[in-house]
Amino acid sequence: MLSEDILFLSVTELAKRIRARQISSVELTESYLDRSRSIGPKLNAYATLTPDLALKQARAAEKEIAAGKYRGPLHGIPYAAKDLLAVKGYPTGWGARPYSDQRFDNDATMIKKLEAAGAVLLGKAAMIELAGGMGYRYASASATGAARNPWNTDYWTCGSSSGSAAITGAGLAAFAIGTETWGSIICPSGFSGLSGLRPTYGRVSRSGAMALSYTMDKIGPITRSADDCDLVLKVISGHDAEDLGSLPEASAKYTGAGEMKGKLRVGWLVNQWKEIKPDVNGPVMAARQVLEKSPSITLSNVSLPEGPWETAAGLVVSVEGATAFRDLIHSGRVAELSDPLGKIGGYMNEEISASDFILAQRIRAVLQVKMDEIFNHVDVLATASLPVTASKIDANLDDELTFADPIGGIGNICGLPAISVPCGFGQHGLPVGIQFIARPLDDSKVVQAARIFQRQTDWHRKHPKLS
Amino acid sequence: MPKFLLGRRQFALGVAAAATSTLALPGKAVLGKTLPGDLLSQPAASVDQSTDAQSLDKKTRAAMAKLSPSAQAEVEMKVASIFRKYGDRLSDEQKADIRRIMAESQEGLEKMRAFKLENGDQPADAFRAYRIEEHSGAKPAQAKPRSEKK
Repeated sequence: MLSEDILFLSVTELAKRIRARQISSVELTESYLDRSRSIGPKLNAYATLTPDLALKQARAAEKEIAAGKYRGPLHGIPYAAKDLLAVKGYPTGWGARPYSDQRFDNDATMIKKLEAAGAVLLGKAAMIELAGGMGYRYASASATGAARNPWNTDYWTCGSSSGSAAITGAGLAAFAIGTETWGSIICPSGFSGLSGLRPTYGRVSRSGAMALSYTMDKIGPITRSADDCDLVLKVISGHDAEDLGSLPEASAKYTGAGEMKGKLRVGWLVNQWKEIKPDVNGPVMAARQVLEKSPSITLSNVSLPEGPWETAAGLVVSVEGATAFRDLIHSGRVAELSDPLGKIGGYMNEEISASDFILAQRIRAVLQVKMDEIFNHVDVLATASLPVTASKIDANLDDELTFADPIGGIGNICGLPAISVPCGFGQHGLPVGIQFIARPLDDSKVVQAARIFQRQTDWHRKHPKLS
Repeated sequence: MPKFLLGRRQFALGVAAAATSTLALPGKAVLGKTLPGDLLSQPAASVDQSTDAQSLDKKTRAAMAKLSPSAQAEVEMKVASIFRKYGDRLSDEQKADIRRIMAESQEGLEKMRAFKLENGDQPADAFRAYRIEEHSGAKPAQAKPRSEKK
């Protein structure tokens, strides 16, 4: 069993050691599997472990690397995939009881790409049922129970990529794949002290992934550093004809964030959060100072445009979700979902008119132009990832998480890339994060901004003590 | 989620449904169930005697009181439509929850509808004519579902 210090290393560091054969991919895989078996259930982190597949892939990686056939920095690196990504031969339950026995006869494009890069699949990460597509009110809205925060297990990791955050945060894998329709990468990364990247819409194929919102679903990495996000996105991006939302290859393929030339223009959002809790505000303001003092950054204040953006975004998700899960709603099997809101949300979403849906899409187009104008003046926007630390594991989220989130709505309805990175701790030993958001296809700029921040700080190197 | 809820956890809340074309009249019995009737005047006791139900009803009344008469009517029609289609599956508590959420959602919808648009402002997902050579081989009618079930 490898030491905890090794298991919490970044992908970048692990890759160096694997390539130099200082660490065996098989030993690393076995260590993560052991830890996943002992700590995973305490956190409700996994839906399924895939040990046979993992060890087969790890042995193959080790053999190839020994023979001098090194595929790249993910070769031999163990990871977990959110349980809405199809993996042949294993259940893909979408976090929901009605689908708990569901199996697919092919792998999601994401899984194929990571396999081709030599990555090792340890298991399927637990998630909020249907990625929250029918709504949810409690962290327990999952077939596998509420995912506990590795920093304080009385608290939640946030959803819907709740298991992906628990796994990476607890050192049960080197990284995990999550998805975001609205907040499901940024929030779990923020609450769990991780570096999570939401790519530009259309950059990463969703073929083989559960659909919730055809025009808003995105897939991205939850890792331990901005550099790791960069590495993983390079592998998983690219055009896929099987996903009609996929960008052409020239746009979809992410070639990585090079070193900065000149200064990065960062716009600090002054009207994103109506109120930030004091224990969050302290670390966030300290992070702002780090950015302000950086010779690589020019910092200015920026305001978001006013408008019904969140309502429009919510309406698009609601309508698309209602059609994606039409059979489940009509059959009445929504009653088998865990959450009280999930049992009735679909019925309400079906009542939205076509006229209002198209209205939301027209407002969406207006907003895209307004946001593009902002990005003529700054390269990235920055703000707190969340105005609070993680909520209690049994909290009614209608009470705990009822704040406006304009950049969440705007970022997701416009398909903007974003990254959340840790910037300190608030009450109860819970992490605090800041996020960077950029123009579509400027994923490299959010990575660069986060990288600059992480070169000045060590929050991303801290990890919880678990046993 | 205008409230954080809407987008990330509670897509239904804050969204809001539009007027339905149902002909069911509020207050009429359909499928043996009582429809909501006037949500403003409905006594709490008719929903449920529990504290939770009374609390929900109070919130519903408060949300409805903020709306114009036409918006109130729209909420009532939406709720009636849901109960007409699915009422036999829903408990009294779930019905009260639906009434509250639909009432609370309407204000956001009204604000969205008030957003100034010009006739020529097109939707973000505008239709495009199709020719295979311009779509990298992906055909809308032939695109595979995300994954095929066994």
